[in-house]
Amino acid sequence: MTINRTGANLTAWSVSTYWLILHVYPSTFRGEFGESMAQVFGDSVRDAWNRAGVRGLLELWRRTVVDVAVSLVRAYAGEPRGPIFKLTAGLSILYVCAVAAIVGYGALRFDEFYQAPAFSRFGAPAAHENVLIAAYEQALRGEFGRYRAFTMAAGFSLAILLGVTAALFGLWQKSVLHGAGALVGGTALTMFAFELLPVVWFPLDRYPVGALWLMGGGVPLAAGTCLLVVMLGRLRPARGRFTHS
Amino acid sequence: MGKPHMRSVQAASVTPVEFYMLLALVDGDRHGYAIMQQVDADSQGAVQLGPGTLYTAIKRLLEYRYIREVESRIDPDLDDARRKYYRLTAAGRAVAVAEAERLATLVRLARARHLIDAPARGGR
Repeated sequence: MTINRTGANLTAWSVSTYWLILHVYPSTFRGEFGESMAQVFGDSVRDAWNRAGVRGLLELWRRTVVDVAVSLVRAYAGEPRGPIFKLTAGLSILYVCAVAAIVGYGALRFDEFYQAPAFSRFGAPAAHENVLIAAYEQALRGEFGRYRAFTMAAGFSLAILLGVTAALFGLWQKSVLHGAGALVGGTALTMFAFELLPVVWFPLDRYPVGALWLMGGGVPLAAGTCLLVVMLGRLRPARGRFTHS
Repeated sequence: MGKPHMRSVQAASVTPVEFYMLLALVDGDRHGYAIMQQVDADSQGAVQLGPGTLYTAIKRLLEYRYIREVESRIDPDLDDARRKYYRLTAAGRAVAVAEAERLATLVRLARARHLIDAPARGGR
């Protein structure tokens, strides 16, 4: 079966990308089945390309994303569960419950907590709206020119949210399976993540410097924790190397 | 290895996907991609396994000892890479037979109640 140059590049890229994706699976599972999974994916890529070209590859990737999401849960659920897993799972549940309680409490006492920035032309969001999103919209829809600090603060907090999300995912994956070191880093991250919560009702116009500090504190933390998690997790390629023809 | 043994004793049934995979191995040893293709063909495209779903199911079937790994070898139809082949065990065959009989009983029941193969479709 011959593949033209474009096909060869796309299939090679697909297989290389899948190798990277395999790193989100538990290391024991990856060590046992990673090479075979990459082989099977490589076969599927070649078939998809020969059958329908780029459209076939896109369809294959669509199914692969779903497959990874579903099988990831099963792969982690099937892992041996030691004391570190139980501790981390317990902390995770506590964390989620605490976040839910704080956000819920904030939502219930919304009018009492939230004060719209005095400079805003848009006023306070309605009680049912997500205050953070409303704040971003205000910043992006016209406050930037006059209130740069406000927009920067909103951007910072968004970056933190993204960083924390990524780091928490890495934390969950690595600390559950790779020892207590990552757990320490992850716990520190979790504690700092709580700093985000007051942003929901923080009166930005009154304490802009405090708000920046509050929200900006998470950026180096999230980046540092990501690094720590990666280092402690000792990300490494699966054994061997799949060679596709 | 006590836990897998306990699980194999406790496990009485398999999921539909695992049943398809056991069926794919009835005729002989197959590697992962061949299992995937056979399941696709047997289910007429209704069950399309991805590598993740395939190997999480293989892991489970190995733990239950319904299948076992046999020697790696090259599939001349694909490429020159060595592949792990899997074989149905006696326990796996027994489970597949039990599952097939269970489904056959259900089909007989559905026929008896005129749910399928009934003269008028959609009637109650």
